[in-house]
Order: sequence, then structure tokens, then C-alpha cells
Amino acid sequence: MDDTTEIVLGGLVILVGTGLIIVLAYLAWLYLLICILVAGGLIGVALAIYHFRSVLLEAHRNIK
Amino acid sequence: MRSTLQPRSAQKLYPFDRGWRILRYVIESLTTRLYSIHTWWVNKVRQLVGFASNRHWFVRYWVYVCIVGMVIFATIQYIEMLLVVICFLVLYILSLAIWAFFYLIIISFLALRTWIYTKYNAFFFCCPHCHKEMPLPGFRCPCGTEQDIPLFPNFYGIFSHQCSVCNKKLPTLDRWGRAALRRFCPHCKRPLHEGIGKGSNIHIVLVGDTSVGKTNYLVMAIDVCKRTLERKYHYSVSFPDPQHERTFESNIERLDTGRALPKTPDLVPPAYNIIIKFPPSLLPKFPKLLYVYDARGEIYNDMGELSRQEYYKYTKGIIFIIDPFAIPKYSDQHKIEIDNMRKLLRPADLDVDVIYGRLKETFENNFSSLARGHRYSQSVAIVINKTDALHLEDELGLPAARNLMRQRPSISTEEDAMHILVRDFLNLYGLGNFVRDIEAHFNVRYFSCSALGRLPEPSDTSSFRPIRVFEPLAWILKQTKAIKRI
Repeated sequence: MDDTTEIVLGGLVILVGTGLIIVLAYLAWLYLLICILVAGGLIGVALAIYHFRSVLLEAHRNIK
Repeated sequence: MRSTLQPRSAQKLYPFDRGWRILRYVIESLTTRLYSIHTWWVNKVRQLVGFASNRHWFVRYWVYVCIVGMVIFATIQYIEMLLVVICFLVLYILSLAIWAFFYLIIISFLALRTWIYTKYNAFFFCCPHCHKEMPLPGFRCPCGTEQDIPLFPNFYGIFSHQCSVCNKKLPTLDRWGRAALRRFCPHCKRPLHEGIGKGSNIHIVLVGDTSVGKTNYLVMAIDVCKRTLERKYHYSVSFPDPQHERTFESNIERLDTGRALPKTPDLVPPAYNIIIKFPPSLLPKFPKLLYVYDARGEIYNDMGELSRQEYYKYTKGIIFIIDPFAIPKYSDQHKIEIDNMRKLLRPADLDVDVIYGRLKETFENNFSSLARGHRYSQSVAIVINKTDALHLEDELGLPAARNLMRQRPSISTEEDAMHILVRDFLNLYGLGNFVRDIEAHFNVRYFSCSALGRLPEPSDTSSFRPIRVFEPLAWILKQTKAIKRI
């Protein structure tokens, strides 16, 4: 293996490695975003049920 | 704090009132809560921005990343929450609306059914004391509380209403137990007996001047009518008000001992209620409720007094009693005999024409929708009373009727002969105008009778035996469809 080949291969390894890192980082962000969206949605529904239920019970107690 | 005995205001059913108030409360409370959640997130973001502002760029970068994540999270959560809450509210409103609609259908059905039944059978609630019509009587809870809300399937309860004091459930229809509750007139607050509103109302008025013998006639006619209808025709005749029954019995006892009844004390008399039930073989099965009014003769002296007699607007039949000794021409011709027996005969003062004129005016006032000169649907039995005196039986009694039938074979019944005899008698003694006018306006039939059967001499304690008192009342009852066959 001559020097040129070595440099090319080294460059390729660096390129692919950087690309992989970028892709993995992108996927991690995407995964995080999805988690945030799902969690936000689920917590939103839970909070809505909780608040609606408690306000309804409170209203039935207070309004005769 | 409210005492348990303190009345509280009546409550409408949940879907007509409380449900909607609760909905308003829920919307207001949820708006406040959602706003406080929004404020919480905004504060948190502000705190983080403040925290990051003086930090190293690397720390600031990651804090901003967190802030973006938080904003996305909060927005999603908020939108989701809002959507779910809106869905719940829509569901709640829909449930309330469907619930209310379902109740409305039941209430409308029950109201319509009762309305058709009462209209078809001419049932209506009329107070026998103040004579006012009412859509529904007032009811009292067994605890004694007057119910402010009409006890009927409505927004306050379909099958029952709750007493505002003792919370007892009160049924809203008679067949569900409402009939057992005490009732009262919402206008005059006097109690109503159980017969009111339980039969087709038929209002009959006795008309005549003071001393024509209206009260004596009424008691005797009811007594004879009750016995005849029950024994001969298998009707059931009863007094729904125990007070009326006691008064009637004491009046009969008085007449049995040869004492005439005193003058009616009331200028606006309470109605005398009688329930007539048809024999089982005859339809209809529901009873007839008679309201018989016997006002003092003095009311015909004054149009003001007469206009206070509100019951005229319901009247179906009139028994117009005439004292023959108050007919001027007859009185003039028999002046000596009448003067000799004035205390016993007690001739009336007012002319028949005057009484009829005021009666007609009352009708015109009460039935103003009818064009003047129109015939009224009411039937009038014109009855000449006191035929026991001055040999009037020879002119107006059965022998005279039979004699007329012999002379005129076309007359088939004694009643027809009597009708002709009395009509001719009135024409003969100067009441031709009265006869023509009353016949032009009403369905008329003529009768003669003697309510007491003899002169009311104080020394004579033998019981009075009425003569032909049944026929006029029976004719009126037949004309007003209170009875079917006699």
C-alpha cells in the first residue's frame, strides 16, 4: 500500500466516521424529539383528565 | 346556615338548570387552571433564560437546547390538554342536551295526554268558593307545606317533586298517588274537596228573585232526583264534599219537620257539588260533577252584584224560578186572596222581565264573543213555583195537563202538555215579551211545581211533600248531558 492509497483510505475513514456520527446524532435528536412529543401529548391528556375530573367534582360539590 | 325546617327554593331537574350552571363553573375554572399552567411554563422558561444569559457559550447552548425542548413539550401538552378538555365539554353539553330532550319528550307526552283527556271529557278545575278556574289546584305535602311549583310532570320533576321543607317525594299524577294529597285553590287558598277535577264539570244556576223558593226547590229537587236516579235508573248520586252532605241532610231534616229553609245568606254563593256516576251499562265511565249555584235573590236588584257572579261564564243550564204571585197581571187579578195570605205566600218583589233583562245582560257580558241576538247554547228550565196555592194546580197541575191532552190528542206526553200550559199561562198574564225573547235566545222548556207542596204554616209540623220538582232538574241534567236516560 503506497502513501497515496493510505491517505485516501484515511480520508474515507474520517469521512464515513464523521458522516456516521452526524447521522447518529441526527437520529438521537429525532428520537429525543419524538419522546418529547409523545410524553408531552400523554401528559397533556392525563392533565386534562385530572383537571376536568377535579373541576367537575368540585362543581357538583359547590353548586346545588 | 339554613335550618332543616326552613323552606328552600324548588330545584329544577339536573339537565334543565344545575347541569348548565355546573358547565359554566367548569368552563370558568378550567380557563383559570389552563392559564395558570401556561404561566408556570412561561416562568420556567424565563428562569432558564435568566440562568443561561451570563454562562459560557457551551453551557448556554445546552440550556437553550433544553428551553427549545421545554417549549415544544409545553406546547404539545397544552394543545393536547385543550383538545381533550374541549372534547369533554362537548360530550358534557351533548349529554345534557340529549338528557334534557329525553325529559322534554316525556313531559310533553304526559302534558299532552292529560290535556287531551281533560279537554275531551270537559274536566277542569273550578273553585266552588271563589268560582275561579285554575289550570291545577295547589297541593299540600303531608307535612303541611304548600307546594309553590305546580305538582305536575315538569322541569321540577317528572314522576315526583320534592317537598321544599321535608324533602318528601310528592307524586306528580293522581294515578301515582297525588290524589291522596290535600288540595287548595291557588286563588282563595280554601281547601278543595276530592271531587274537584274528577268529572266533567256541569254548572247549573238557579235564577229568581227573593222568596221565589229557590233554596227550597234546590234541596227538594236534589233529594227527589237522588232517590229517583239511584233507585229507578241505577245512577250513583253523591256529595264529594262532606260539608255539603251535612248541610243537605240538615236541610232535609228541617223540611221534614215542616219548616221552610231560611234565605240564602251568600250574595256570591259557594257551589253545591254533586257527583253523578252513570250506571255500569252506560258510557261514559267517568262521572259528571255538578256545580249548582243558589245566590240570594237580591243580586238581581243590582247589576254590580250580578257581575260578581263569575260562575255565569261556565253555566250550562239555568233553572229560572218564577213566583206566580209576582206576575203583576196575575197579582192584580188575585189581589184580595194574595193580600189575605201575604205572609204565607211571601210574593217576590221584582218583575220577571227585570230579572230576565239582567240575566241576559250578564250573559252578553260573559259571552261577548257571541254576536248580539245570537242564540246561546245554554238551556233554561222556566219553573212556576208555589202551584199549591190559590188553586194553581187546577191551571198548571197534572189534572190541567191531562185535560189538555184530552182536548188536543196531538200532545203525546204530560210533560209536553205541562210545557204548553205554563207557556200559555205566562202569555196570558202579560209575560208574552219575556216568553218570546227567552225562546229567541235560549233552549227553553216550561214547568210548574211546588217545592214545598203546601203553604209553610208555622203551626203545621208535618213534612213537606214536593210536587213535580224532579222534572225541571232532570230536563236540565239531560240537556247538559249529566244524565242519559230517564
